[in-house]
Amino acid sequence: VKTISLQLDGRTVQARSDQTLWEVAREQGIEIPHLCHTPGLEPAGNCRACVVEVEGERTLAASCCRRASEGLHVQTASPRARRAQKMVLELLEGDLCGPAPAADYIPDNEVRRWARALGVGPSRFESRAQPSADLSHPAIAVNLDACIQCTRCLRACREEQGNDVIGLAGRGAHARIVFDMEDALGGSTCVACGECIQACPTGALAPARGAGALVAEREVASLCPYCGVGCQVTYHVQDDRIVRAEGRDGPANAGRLCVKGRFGFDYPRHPQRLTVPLIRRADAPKDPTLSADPETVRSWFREASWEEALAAAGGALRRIRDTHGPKALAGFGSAKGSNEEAYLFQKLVRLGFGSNNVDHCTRLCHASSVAALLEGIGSGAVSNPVRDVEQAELVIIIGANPTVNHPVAATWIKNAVRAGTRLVVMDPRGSELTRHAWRHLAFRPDTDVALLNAMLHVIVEEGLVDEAFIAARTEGFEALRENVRGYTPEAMAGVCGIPAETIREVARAYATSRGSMILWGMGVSQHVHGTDNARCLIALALATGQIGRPGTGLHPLRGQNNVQGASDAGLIPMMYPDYHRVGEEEARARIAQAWGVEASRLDREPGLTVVEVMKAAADGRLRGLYVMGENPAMSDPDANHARAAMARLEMLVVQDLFLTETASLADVVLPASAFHEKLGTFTNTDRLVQLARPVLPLPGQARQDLWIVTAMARELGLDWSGYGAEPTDCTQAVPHVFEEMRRVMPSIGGISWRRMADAGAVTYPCAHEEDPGEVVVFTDHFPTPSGRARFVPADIVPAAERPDAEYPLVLITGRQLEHWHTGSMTRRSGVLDALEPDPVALLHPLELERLGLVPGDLLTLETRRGHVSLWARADATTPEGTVFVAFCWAEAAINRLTNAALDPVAKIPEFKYCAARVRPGGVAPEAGSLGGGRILQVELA
Amino acid sequence: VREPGVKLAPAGITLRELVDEYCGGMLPGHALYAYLPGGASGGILPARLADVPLDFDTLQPHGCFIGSAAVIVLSRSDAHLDRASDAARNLMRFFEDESCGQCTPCRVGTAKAGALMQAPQWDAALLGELSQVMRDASICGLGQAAPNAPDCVLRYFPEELV
Repeated sequence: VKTISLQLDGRTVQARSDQTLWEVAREQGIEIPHLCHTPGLEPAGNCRACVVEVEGERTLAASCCRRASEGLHVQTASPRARRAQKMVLELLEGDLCGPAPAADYIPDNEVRRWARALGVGPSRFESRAQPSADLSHPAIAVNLDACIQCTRCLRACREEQGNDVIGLAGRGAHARIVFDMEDALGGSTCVACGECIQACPTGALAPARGAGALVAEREVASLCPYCGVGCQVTYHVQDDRIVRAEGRDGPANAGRLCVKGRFGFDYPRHPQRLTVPLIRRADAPKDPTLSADPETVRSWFREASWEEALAAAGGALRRIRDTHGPKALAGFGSAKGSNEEAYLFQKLVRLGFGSNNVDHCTRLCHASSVAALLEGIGSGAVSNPVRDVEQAELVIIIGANPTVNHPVAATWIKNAVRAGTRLVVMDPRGSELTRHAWRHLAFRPDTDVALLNAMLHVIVEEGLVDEAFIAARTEGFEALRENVRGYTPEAMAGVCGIPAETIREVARAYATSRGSMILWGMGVSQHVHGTDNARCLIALALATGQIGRPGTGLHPLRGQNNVQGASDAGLIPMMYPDYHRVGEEEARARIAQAWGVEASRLDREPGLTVVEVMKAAADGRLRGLYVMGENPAMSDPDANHARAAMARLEMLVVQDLFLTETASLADVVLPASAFHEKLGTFTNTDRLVQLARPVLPLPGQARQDLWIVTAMARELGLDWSGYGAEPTDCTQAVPHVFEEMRRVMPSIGGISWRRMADAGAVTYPCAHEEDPGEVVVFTDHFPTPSGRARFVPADIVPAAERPDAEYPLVLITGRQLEHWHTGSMTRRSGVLDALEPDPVALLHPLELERLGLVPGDLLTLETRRGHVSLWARADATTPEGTVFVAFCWAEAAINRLTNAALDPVAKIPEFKYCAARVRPGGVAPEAGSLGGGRILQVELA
Repeated sequence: VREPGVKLAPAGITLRELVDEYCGGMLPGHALYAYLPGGASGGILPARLADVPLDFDTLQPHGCFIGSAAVIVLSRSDAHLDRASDAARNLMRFFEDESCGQCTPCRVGTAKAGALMQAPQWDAALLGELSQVMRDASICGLGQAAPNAPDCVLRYFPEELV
């Protein structure tokens, strides 16, 4: 790249040789009409609206794809160039859906905008014969009468999202956008990321049911409420309803979104939204079978005032505390809440309840990863952001399905592969990413340690270790060397099912690449050997020095939008904010001082974890539980047991948006605020703290979560009026709490509220106000007492429950693209529930055949703990001998079947493995008054 | 012509020489009316320009080019009247069909030009504007040369369009 000079509209300008004429003009403040070109996509140069005149050339040049070069004389608006630009617009406008903007599918049709700007129109040409609409998809309307064949949708689908669904078929005037083999969109492999909608300049692809055409009254810059990727979103609001969501140019998403982020924003206005506090009727016993639908469940409760509900909830918790001691109470915070809410919630439990019995869903997802990371490298967070895959030469994805669970992160991985990065997928199940993988190691479920230790064996025995890194930065390598000696690939091949030569090949490639990165998910963590699995991954990175540089490192993909932040804020039973162990006197004294209390007020003992809380409740040791925005009745393993345990509680307070399966067991239900109704900070998987702004007002008597926590604190004898939380407005209180967190947590010490509000996104660790934040950490030391990382050897531990003659299959649970966790949000979102309305079990086609089933048949899945009936779906990515079910289906709650066996270190349950059997038939699951795709039907009626 | 076919002839030969010396002259009763010097893209010339040498760069001043040198002759006889405008309509249908559809001037331009040319009288101004932009802004030679035929009709055969 060199600097060159050229003549642009009579002026001499400087440019870079890698810039296009269009880019140079834009830098100079000259706007050239353009339609097929949009920054972020590869220039296509097909619309020809951007043609310019280059002196001495026979034809005009498309400025979007013509590189600047020395000495060019370019005219962007000469009569000849203008004539062509205008004629292109006139030709296209003549073929648009109608003669006037009123016919358009979006308010800002770019053809009309440019035509207006250049004084073109009305078109003198007769319109083409128009194609008919394709309205087969619940989310996206296809009206190709507005299509200008610019292929922005195609490039968005292929280049950006890597989904490869959209194509251009036909020739000449018959050139047309198609999906797959010219299928209807609703019947295609489209994953409804909606990137095509965002790219389309004319609304030929637009949000369905006319949503694209609505003119927003306001646009609010905020975030997506779903996964840990942390996409920034612009919400378009009309009449206090969100009508559209658009990707915003955030560090993690660069304008991209997935189906949930783009279409799953309507749940806060679902008819079942709680808008009044509820108290259980005296004549409504708690039914742990949860067989009733939400409307029946509603009849078990009566409406109450906030005063009455708070007094009932807080009074009962206070009495239990004072009668049975602090350990008879526990609280579950939420990784869906903000950092400020998480922080105040754990403070409430620690000061108000008087114990460390506070936990949240991190226990069920990455507790083992965090345990291993804290033990090995002194920090539970990621070392490098997802987008570092673009700088890696090799990427390992193990036990994760990012196209489903972190879809926008997956797009960066696919982009990296296209640019030359080698992708290794290690997973018993296949995924969309395996299509992009250099190697897919489909090892046998439960044999992670065998495979990873064999890789370590190769690296150690073949001398592929980074001796200098090991010497300077680590300790305990000898123990690892000893431990992996016996794990030859040849010996392990029979255990894990991967040929020895493949293990060797991948181990060598990982060790010797310029930069290797490991990303993992629940497939690693949710085992009784979850901590061991993570220890092996850490050892791989340490042994080869593949950490501490861009394009390397360890990235446990965080699930919830704020699971990183909630953990950082201390929503865990053994840690204060910033991961100081509750047993450490110094940490205890420091926190006590920050909170202005005597250290003796703070319990020395670690509290109970999620599953332990349920066990204590079942035993009667635990009598009161405060659940903020979590749904353990659906998400806990062996959920029948968890439900029965919660039904025994003297006081279950649930703070949520809906009468969830957990709330249906509650004594008091407090109507909470949705993500879109509040201000707060959220920390994504990359350690990026981002600001969410209120988009919608609170409905009815729903209250700000932060205020509810302070109100509960008041009932428990704490005066938190100083935070200034108001029932429906916490915009003053949130900054207060954030500033307190900043004082308590050095990791975010450099992020003032003002900076947060201005920048909207800051990465931590961030020590002081001038610190830009460390995107890549561990560059020169590890945050351990010695500054060194530690190798922790691991050996093979089998799953707690292996298949046998009686239960011959392995049940693997997880998630699916369209639904979030327990479904409380997404099954109340019209588009998402319409896309995936019914519970399905995924089985290999050959497994189905053996069972005498065809796709769509009803089947009953059983384990030693329970059974559910649901529909069979053929899925060749699910290996034979296994069955996969997502845990979002209330009518077929798969966690009633899972095993509550725990990893001994992290106390994470084994969601990924238990013995099961399938029999054809059963009682068809009924979706009750939600699910089954019916919200959209109601909406349409 | 009497003897159509593939002929090896020197560059710079004229149409008249080509017909007379290589093709045995016109069919009996037929008079030369017009000719396409270079395939579908090369334009259409009237009989009065049958003495222009056929070669690279000799046809440009007349709005044509030698292209593939696939020469087509239009004729008139007592029973039969070829029309350059009909030939041009046919050619534009051909280009519309052959257009790959990538760029607007060619994809939409050939279709719109074809539609305009269906009229008994052509909108010469609009067709002319469109033609210039197809020449200037199409990505490849197909769209750039597609308007040669209608332009030649407007230039050499206006009497067909009244």
